[in-house]
Amino acid sequence: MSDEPSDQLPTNGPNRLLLTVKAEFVPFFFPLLQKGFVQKTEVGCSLRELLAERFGVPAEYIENRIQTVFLDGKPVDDMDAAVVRDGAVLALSSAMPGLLGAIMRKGGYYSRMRSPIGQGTGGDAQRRADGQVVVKLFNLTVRELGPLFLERGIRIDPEDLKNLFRNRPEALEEGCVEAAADGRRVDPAQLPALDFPGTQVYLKLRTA
Amino acid sequence: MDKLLRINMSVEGGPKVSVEGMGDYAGLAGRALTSAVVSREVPPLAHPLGEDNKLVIAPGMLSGTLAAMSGRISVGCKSPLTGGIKEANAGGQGSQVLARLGYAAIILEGKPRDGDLYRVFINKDGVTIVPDNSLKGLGNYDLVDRMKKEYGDKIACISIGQAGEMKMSAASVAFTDMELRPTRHAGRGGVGAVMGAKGVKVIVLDDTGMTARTPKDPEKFRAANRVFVEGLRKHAVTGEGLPTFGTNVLANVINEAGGYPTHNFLWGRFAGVSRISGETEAETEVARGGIATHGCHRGCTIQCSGIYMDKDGHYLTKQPEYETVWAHGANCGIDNLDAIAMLDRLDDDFGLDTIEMGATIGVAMEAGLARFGDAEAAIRLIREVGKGTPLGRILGNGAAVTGKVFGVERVPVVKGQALPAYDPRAIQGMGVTYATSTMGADHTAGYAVTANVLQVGGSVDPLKAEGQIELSRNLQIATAAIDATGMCLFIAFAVLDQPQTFQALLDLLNSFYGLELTGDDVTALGKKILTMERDFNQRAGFTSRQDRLPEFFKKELLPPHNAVFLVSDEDLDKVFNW
Repeated sequence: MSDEPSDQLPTNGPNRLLLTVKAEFVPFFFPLLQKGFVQKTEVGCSLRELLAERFGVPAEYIENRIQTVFLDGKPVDDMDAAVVRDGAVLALSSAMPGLLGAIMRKGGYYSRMRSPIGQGTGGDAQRRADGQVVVKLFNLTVRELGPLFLERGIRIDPEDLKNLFRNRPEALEEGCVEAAADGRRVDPAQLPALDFPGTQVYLKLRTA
Repeated sequence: MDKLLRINMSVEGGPKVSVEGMGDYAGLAGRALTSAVVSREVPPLAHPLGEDNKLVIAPGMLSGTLAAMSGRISVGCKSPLTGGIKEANAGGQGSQVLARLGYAAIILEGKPRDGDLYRVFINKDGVTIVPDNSLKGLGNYDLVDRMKKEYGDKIACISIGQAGEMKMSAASVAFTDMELRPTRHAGRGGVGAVMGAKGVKVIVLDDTGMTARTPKDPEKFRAANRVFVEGLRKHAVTGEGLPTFGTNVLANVINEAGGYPTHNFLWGRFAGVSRISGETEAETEVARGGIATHGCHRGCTIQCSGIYMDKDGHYLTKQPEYETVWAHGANCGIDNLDAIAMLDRLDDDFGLDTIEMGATIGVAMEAGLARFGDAEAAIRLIREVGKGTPLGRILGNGAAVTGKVFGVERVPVVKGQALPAYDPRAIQGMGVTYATSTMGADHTAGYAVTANVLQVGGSVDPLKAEGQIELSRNLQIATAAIDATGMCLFIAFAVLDQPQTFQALLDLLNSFYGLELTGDDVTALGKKILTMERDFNQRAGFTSRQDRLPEFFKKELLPPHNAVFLVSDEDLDKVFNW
């Protein structure tokens, strides 16, 4: 994962939430990563290029650890042929159990049993341009890539964040060391009461 | 494990116990043995709840040994749900304990003439069977507590709840786990109803004084087991994914594929999936002081199960697995894990198949008996089943009966048995197995080690329908063979990917029995089992018309891919051409 200064978070503007949390508290945010988060990025590139060069995921991890990939709801077998369009939905998972896991595995022997949903290619090659993709992390990728995306910064539905905070407020108070909303310091205990207008909130984590 | 225990419940003056050698059944175990006995000894036209049906409970070939993952047990009979042959499979302690006591199978025969309910106790000294009507109406949890008080905590129980006593077609047979809780079920096909019809409430097993079964070549056996376990531990699925998140880790991915049946198979995606996924479930369990990595029997190294606590940190149920979470969750529009865990607990207590009951509640919701998403209503409906109210009796007889009673067209069953958690319109190959399995719709029927390892069936053309047919055939053959070994089907991934792990499995069998089995022999065993089962079903009146999916799968488009099931009837009829 690239550690270049994040282009996910505007330096100013509404709905920016910067949290400093204890390292062991990072998994608290994993449910957000399953449901999907937005990443601003260059699109029109191959899936492999997006993961390796835009998101900085190591090549070895892409090849061996990411075993199941969906692009716009269709399983992907060829990471180089699949083109990521603006607004694409990308889901990543490590190896899955069962026959269904085998059927959905990229390039797997049983991939033929999945027709007619076919293979996700993202359509024809597109012009490279700035855009955004929705990323979902499942299985072990939540634990392995999740902290890196959270550190990079993610855009999510404010309702999902509010629900997360309200479900376990006591854990939040214990695990969150510092909080800043739109540049102003906030008492972590008050996070469940925060309101985020609009359709997206920008969340970025730092570990204490 | 060289003797059969027969208990004839019809005998005047009380049940008669007899112990006999294996005879013509020598060398068979697990599904191979249950299907052989049913196929040979049960008249195909017998009423499933009548005296001519038999309930066969058989550990696998390697059960009772020190081989890892060898604790699966098969329960066979003529099914009251499908009308055909049935093998339902469970984990828990029963398989290991029964095998160590030396029994290849318990066969319950006949039907009590007196209406009494019996309990059976088996230990190294023999078998006792006594009437005990005080057990009538007990749920599995209270029943096991009673047995624990009477026999101590070194036992394993095989039992039925109220559903089995009421001979409902969705009734399961419960097996206790390592904590002596009745959480592992031979769920499918109404095997619990047949046990109820035999008048047996519980079989208590105590293997005190017995030791693990001894291999013919202990050194080779130990070495093979070491390689086998190493193979399981190093594989990403059996060594990491399953232990970390359990089987429900599939939920997000199947949902993403658009094959996660939602609102009684109306849609292929569920908006609330992330609230009930395996990742969320594991995190919830750990946060509440439960366990997210746990085995269902001793000797399990994959540890795909767990312990689910309620909000107050008290035990509620074992970790509900993928099929259960789907059936009571997405299929009914319910995104509340606590409610799903409660439904799982009630199913286990009443002794019900979670897949059948989730599908049934989905059909009931479609019929207007409750609103999709209403968790409280779902719990209320399951409680009706436990009480045996008229409505509960209808629901407890499964999705097909419920659909018929309430006039629902979209009823997801094959041979009367509810479909599991994969929509065949999104995953066509699975649809072939659902349609043609001898067991009715069954996701585990085509699951295990397969063509690229065993090289059965030759090469497959992926672009032709025959490709789907051939893959399903090979999977069903391999699965039938694995079901005979007593091995957990979840070994399939490591065996599939790692030839040395498959070889280790063969080495375990060969060193234990002094055999020289090859992959071809395993294939031959699988074919033999399926042939017996198909033959029984044909004699019971099944034709190719039963090897079909419900019509709506061919007509109703499944969002988001708007797919229908495309495999032709002619191709389905080729599955068993070998």
